[in-house]
Amino acid sequence: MAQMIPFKYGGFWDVPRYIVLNYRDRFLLLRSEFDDELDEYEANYTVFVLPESVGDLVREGNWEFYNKVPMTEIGQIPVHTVVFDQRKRTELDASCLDDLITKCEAAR
Amino acid sequence: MGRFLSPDWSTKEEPVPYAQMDDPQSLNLYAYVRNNPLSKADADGHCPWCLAAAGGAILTDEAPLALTGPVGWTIIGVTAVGVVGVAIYQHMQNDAPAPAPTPAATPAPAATHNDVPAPADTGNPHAPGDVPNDQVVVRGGTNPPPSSGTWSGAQGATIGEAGKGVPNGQVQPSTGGQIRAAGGEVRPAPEPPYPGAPVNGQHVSVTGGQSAFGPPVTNPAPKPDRVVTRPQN
Repeated sequence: MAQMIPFKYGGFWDVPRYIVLNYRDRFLLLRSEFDDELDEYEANYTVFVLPESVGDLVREGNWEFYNKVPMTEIGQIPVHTVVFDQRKRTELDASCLDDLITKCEAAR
Repeated sequence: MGRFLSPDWSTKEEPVPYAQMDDPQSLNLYAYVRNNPLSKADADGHCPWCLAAAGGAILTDEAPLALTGPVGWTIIGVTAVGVVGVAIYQHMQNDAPAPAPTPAATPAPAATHNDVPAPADTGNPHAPGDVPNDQVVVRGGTNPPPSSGTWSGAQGATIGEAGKGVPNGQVQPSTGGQIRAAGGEVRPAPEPPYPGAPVNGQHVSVTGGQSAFGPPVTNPAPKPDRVVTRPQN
C-alpha cells in the first residue's frame, strides 16, 4: 500500500539524488551519487539512518548536518523502484523502505 | 548621432522647430533629446517625449495655481490631459516592432553552472527563461534517455558548453528545436547537483523527444570544467 511521505532533497539528476525524510519514527537519508567509473549515477539508493539530533534540520531541508554526523547504512534499494510524486520533488512512496527498516529493527 | 538632413516637420513654419527660447538645448540642432539621451527618447524625430517631459515641468510650475481656486485647477487639468496624450502617443511609437538584433548583439545564454543565481525555489521546473530552438541540449552518458517521464539534460550554446552542465564523459547531443520537432518538451530547471552546491543553471527537464538525441560522443568539456556532483571534502 502506497504511503506518500514528504521529503527534502539536495541534488537532482533525473530524480532526487540526496533525499532526507522522516518515516516510521526514523530520519533517513537516501543517496545515489555519480559514479566516475561507470560514468553514470548509481542505480541504487544507499539508505542511511540519521541520528535524531538532526531532526529539526531534516524537517527544514537544512543540509548542514551532511558529512558532519554519523550515518548508519542499512542497505540499498534500486532507484527505479522508488515512486515519486509527479514532479519528483516533494513526496515519495516510502513503502519501498519497509523491508530495510524491518530488517534493521530485527537486527537490534 | 547626426543631425536631420532635411527640414524637420512642424505644423507651422518656425525658424527653429520645437525651439523653446528658455531652453538653450532646444536650439542645438546637433543635440539629441536635449542632450539627455539616458532619460529621454525621440523615436521619430518629432520629440514627443521631450514635450511630455516639458509638460511634466509645466505641471510642476503650475502647482501653485491650485491655490487660486477652480480656475487654477482647470489650467492644471487641461495641461495634464495634454501631457497624458503625448505620453500615450510616445507609448504607441514604442510599440512598433523592434528591428531584429544582429547576431553579434544577441546576448549569450546563461550557460555556466556557476554563474546563475539560485532561484528561490530550486525545484521549480518552470524557472524563468527558455531553451531556444538553436540551443544545444545534451544527455549525459551512453545509456539511451529514459523512454518515459521527465529526465535531466544540460543546455549550452555549443556541445562543449552544454557538456559543462553534466558530469559524464560521454554526451548525447541534440537541440531544443530537434527535441520539439520530435514531439518532446525541454524547459530550464535549475537544480543543485548535491546538498549545498551552487545551482546548476544549465540543468533542463526533458520530456519525450528521445529520438532527437544523437549517438554518444566524447564530452568536449574537460572533467574539471564539468558540474561537480558531490561535496568536496
